[in-house]
Amino acid sequence: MNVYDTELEEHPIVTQQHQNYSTNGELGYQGYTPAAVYQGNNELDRDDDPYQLYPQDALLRNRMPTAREAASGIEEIIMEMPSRTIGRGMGGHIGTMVNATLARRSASRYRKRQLVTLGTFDGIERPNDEIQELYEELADEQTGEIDNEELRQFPVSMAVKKQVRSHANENREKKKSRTVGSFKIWRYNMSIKWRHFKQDTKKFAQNFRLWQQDLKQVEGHFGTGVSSYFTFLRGLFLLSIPSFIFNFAFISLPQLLQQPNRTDPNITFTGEELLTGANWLTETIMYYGYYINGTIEAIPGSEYDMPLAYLLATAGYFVLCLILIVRTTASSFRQNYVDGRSDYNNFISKVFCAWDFGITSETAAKLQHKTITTELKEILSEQRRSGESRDFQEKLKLFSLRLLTWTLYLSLTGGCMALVYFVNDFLLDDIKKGLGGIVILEQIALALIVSSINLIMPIIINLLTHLEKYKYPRHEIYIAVFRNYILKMGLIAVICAFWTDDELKSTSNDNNGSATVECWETELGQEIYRLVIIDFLFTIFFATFCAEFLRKLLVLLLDGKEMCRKLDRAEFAIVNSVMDLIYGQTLCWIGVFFCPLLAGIVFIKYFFMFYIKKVSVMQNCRPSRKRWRGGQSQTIFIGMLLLSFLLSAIFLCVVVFREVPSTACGPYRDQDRSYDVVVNLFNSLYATSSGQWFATIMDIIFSVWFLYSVAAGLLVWAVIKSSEAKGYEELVRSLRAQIELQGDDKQLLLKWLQSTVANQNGKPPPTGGAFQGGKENHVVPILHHRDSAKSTPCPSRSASARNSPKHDINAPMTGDVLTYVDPQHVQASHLVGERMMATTSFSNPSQISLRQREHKDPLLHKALANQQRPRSMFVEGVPSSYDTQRRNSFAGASVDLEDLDTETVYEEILSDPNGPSPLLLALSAKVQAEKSQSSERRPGYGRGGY
Amino acid sequence: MGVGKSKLNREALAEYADLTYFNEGEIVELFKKFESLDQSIQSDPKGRISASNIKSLPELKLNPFADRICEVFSSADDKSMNFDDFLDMMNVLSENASFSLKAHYAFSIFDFNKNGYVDEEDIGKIVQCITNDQDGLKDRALTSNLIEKIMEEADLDRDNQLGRSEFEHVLSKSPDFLSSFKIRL
Repeated sequence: MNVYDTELEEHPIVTQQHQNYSTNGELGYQGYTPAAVYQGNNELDRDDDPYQLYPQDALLRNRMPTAREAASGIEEIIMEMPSRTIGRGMGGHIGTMVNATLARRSASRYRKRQLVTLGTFDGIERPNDEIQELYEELADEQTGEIDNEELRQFPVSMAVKKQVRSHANENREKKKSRTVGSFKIWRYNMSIKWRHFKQDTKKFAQNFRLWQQDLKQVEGHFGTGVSSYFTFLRGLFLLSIPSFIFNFAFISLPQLLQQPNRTDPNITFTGEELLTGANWLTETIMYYGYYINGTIEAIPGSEYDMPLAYLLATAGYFVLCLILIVRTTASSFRQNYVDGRSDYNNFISKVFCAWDFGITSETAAKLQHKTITTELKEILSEQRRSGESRDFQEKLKLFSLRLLTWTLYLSLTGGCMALVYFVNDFLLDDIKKGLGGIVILEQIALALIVSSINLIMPIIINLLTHLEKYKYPRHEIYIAVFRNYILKMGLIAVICAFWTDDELKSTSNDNNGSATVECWETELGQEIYRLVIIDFLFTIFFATFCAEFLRKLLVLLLDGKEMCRKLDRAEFAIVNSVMDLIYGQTLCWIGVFFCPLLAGIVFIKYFFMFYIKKVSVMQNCRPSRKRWRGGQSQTIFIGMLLLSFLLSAIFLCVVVFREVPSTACGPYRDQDRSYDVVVNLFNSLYATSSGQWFATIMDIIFSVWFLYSVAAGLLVWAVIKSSEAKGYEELVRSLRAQIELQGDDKQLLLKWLQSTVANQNGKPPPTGGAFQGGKENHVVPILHHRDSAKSTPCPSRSASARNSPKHDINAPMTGDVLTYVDPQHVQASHLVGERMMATTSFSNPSQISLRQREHKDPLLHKALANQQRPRSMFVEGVPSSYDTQRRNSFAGASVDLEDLDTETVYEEILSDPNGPSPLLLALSAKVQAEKSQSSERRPGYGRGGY
Repeated sequence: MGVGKSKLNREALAEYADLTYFNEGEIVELFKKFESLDQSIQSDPKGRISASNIKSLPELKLNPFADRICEVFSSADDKSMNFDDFLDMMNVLSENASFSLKAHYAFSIFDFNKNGYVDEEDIGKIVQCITNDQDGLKDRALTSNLIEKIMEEADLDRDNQLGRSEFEHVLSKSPDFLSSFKIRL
C-alpha cells in the first residue's frame, strides 16, 4: 500500500486530479446541470481531442458515435444489463416487450398531451405523425378499423381520441377502395356489426341501471362498504326477475289456464294466508300439491305435459342461476383473489385506495379522514405487534379459551337445531291429532322460532368470536361469518330433513292417524314460505325498525344527557345484513321446487327491502367509524351464495332422484320417483319410429364408455389447466425476479455514472446556465446527495484511488448518494446535448464532460459486461485501444478485483484525455508488485474473456 | 336537454359515445352537469371552466385529490377544463372504465411532483391528503413509517420509488381500488 502511495504522490497530475476529486466530493453533484456538461464537452470536441494523443486509437475514434448513436448505444448497454441477459429464456423477453410497450405508450401519451395543448389553442387539427402512430398501434392491420373499446381504454385525452377516430374514418375510406376478397369483406362487415351490436346493447342497458341514484346517494353518505350491501341486494333482485318469469311462464301459467277443482270449495281467502301460507293458499298454484299429473289442453290441439314441464322448468331455473352466479363469482374471484398468497394490499390499499371518490357528504368526508388516520395508525401498531409472538402460557390460555368458545358455539348451534326439530315434531303431532282450531300462532310458531334464532344467534356468535382475540379484525369477521353461515344452513337442513323423513311419509301412507300429512311437498313449501315471510318481517321490524329507528329516536330524546354520551345512532350492520340475504336466497332455492312462485315472492321482498333499508340507512344510521373493505369480503359473500346454491341443488337432486313423491298430490303422484317422468318420456320416444335416432343417441350418452371418456377428457383438461397455472406461476416468479434484476440495473448504471462523474469532473460546474429552470428535470439525471456526510473527500490520493471510488460505488447500495438515474433520462440528455451543441457557444475548455465518456460506450459496454462477473474474478489486460500501448506492463498480470475495481481502472483509462494516465502507471506498478508477491498465476482469463 | 342539445349535436354525441363508456343519454346528462358549473360558458362544449368551478362539483368538492385531478385532466396549463376534459375525467372515474385506464390516471394523480414516479415525497403528500393533514406536521412518524412499509411492499426494484408499472401492479392486487376510484353517475 505504501508503495502505491509514494508512487502516486510522485505524479503531479495524480495529485491535481485528487484535488479536483475532493473538491467535487465536497460540493457534490447537486448543481451539475447538463448545460455545463455539454459546454465543457463541446470545447473538448473542438480543441483538444484526446484521441490525438493516441494515434493508435484511430479505431476507437472511428467508433466515436453521434449523439443518436450514443443513445442507441445506451440502449445496447441496457440490453446487456443483468436483467436482460439473465432473464432471457425464462420469459425475460416478455418483460422487455412489455416495458417497451409501456414506455412507448406513456411516451406517446406525453407527446399527445403537448400536441393537444397546441391543437386546442390554434384550433387546427393536424393529422401528424403522432396521431398516425397511435392509429397504427390501435388499428386492425387488415381493415384499418379501430376497436372503440380499445380506443376507449387508451389513456390519451379526448382531443387525441377524436383525432385518431377521424383519422381512422379517413383511412377506412381509403382501405375500402382496395381490392379485398368478398368473403373477407363480408366477414369484416359482420364482425363490425356484431361489435356495434354488442356495444349498443351494453350502452342501451346502461339506461336501465336500476337504483343507480339510490346507490349513489348511499355511497355518497356511507362509502362503498354500505353500498356494497345494496349492490348485493340489487344483484339478487335482478337474479330473481328472470327466475320468476321463467317459473311463472312454464309452470304456473299453464296450470292457471286449466285449474283443477279444489277439494274443499268452502275455504275462502281471509288474509291471514299471506302470513301462514296455508288454508286457502294450500290449493293454489302456489304449491306443488296443486299441480296436476296429466296434460293440459288449454289451447285445443296442443298438449302440455305438466309433470315434465314442472321438472324441466325447475332444472332450467337452476341452470340459469348457476350460470349467473358462477359468472359473478368467477369475475369477483379473479378481481380480488388472484394473488391471494402474497401478503400484499395491506398498506398499499390502505393508502392508495383509502379515499372513496364517491363520497359527497361533508360529514362522511370528515369521518373518512378520521377513519383513515386511525386505521393507518392501527395497522402500523398491528404490524409491530404481529412481530411479537405469544409465549407458551399465553398460547395455552388462548387455546383453552378458543376451545371453550368453539364448544359453546357448537353446543348452541346443535341446541338450536334440536329445538327446531322437536318443535317441528311437536307441531306435527298437533296437526296429526287434529286438535282442531289450528291457530295462526301454531302455524307460524316454527318460523318464528327459526327467525328468532337467526336474530339472536349472530349477536352471540359475534360476541364469542370477539372474545377469542384474533390478531386481525379481518380474521374475526371471517370466523364470525363462517359460524353464522353454518348455523343458518344447519337450521334449513333440519327443516328439510324433517319433511323428507321416510317415517313421516310412511305415516302418511299408512293413514293411521286421524289427520295425515297428505302432501309433504306442500307442507315443506308452506314452511319455507312462512320462513321467507317471517324472516322478512323480522328484518324489517327488529333489525331495521327497532335497532335503527327506535335507537335514533332514543338518541334524539336523550340528546345531550350525560348518561348517554356513548349512545349514538346505529351503524349499518353490513355483515349480518348480507348474511340474512344469503339465508333468504337459500330458502328461495330450496323452496322453489315445492313452491314455484317463491321466486316471485322473493322478488317482491327484495324490492321492498331495498327501499326500506335505504330509507332507514339514510335516516337512522351514521357512517361507520371502521372502514369496511368491500373487495375481499364481497368475494366471500358471493362464494357463500354459490355454496348455498350448490347445497340447495344437491338437496333437490336427492328429492327428485331418491325421495318418494306423495301419492295424494302433485304432478308426480303416480310415479315412484319424480324423475321417472323423464324416463317415461325417453321410453315413449324410443317407441316411435322417429325416436329411434334419439334412442341411439341416448344409448350412447348413457353408455359406460362414453361417460368414461367424458370423465377422462375432463381429467386431461384439468391436468392441462393446472399445469398451465403452474407455468403462469413460474412466469410470474421469473418476471418478478426480473424486476428485481432491473433494480440492480439501475443501481449498476448509477454506480457507473456516479463514479464517472466523481472521477472525471475536474471541478464542479457552474450551477447556472441555459438549462436552469423547470425543464431541467426532463433531461437531466437527477443527481443529489441524500447524505452529504458519506461523500466527504478522501484525505489522500491513495485513499481516493483505492477506497473512495469503491466507497462511492457501494454507496448507492446503502441508498445514500444518488437517488436515481433513469436510463431514459441519460438517453434524453444525449439528444438534448446534441441540440445544445449546435446552438450554444462554449467557454470552458478544461471541462471534461460526461458525454465525452459516454461516447466511448463500446468500451463501457465491455466494462459493464465485465462488472457483471463475480468480484473475485481476475482480469487480464485492458481494452484494446490501450492494450497495444500498455500490453507490456499488463501482460500476464492479474489484479484482484477485491483490491482494485476494474471499474475504477476503466473509468480512469477511459476518461483521461490528457495522455498516458498516471493512474495507469500506478496501476501497472501495483500490478507488478502484486505479481511479485503472488507466485500463483490464474489461467483462463485471457483478453478474449469478455 | 334544451340548451345542451343545440350545442351538442348528434354527431358529437355519437362521437363521445364511441370514445367513452357512456351512452348518449348519460353524455347529455354530464353536459348538463358541466354547464351548470359555470353559466358564463353559455353551454359551449369548447368553453373552459376554471378549476375552482370544477371543484365545486359535489363529487370533487370533498375529494382531497381534487386539485391533482383537475391538473391531470386539464388540457390547458391553468387546470381549467372544457367539456372534452370533463368527459375524460368522468369517463376514467366511471364504473365501466377498465382497470388499466383507471390505474394509469391514478398514477398520474398520485404523482404530485410530476417526475414520472410515485416517490416518497408523493406518498407523503398522499398520506397528508387522506388524513386531512394539510401542513404535514401532525404525524411525521406515521408518514415515514407508512412510506417505509409501502416501499417494502410495492417497490420491487428497490429504487425507493414506484414506477408506473410497479404502481399498476400493486394496484391490481388491491381489490378495493376499483370500488374506491369511482364516481357513480
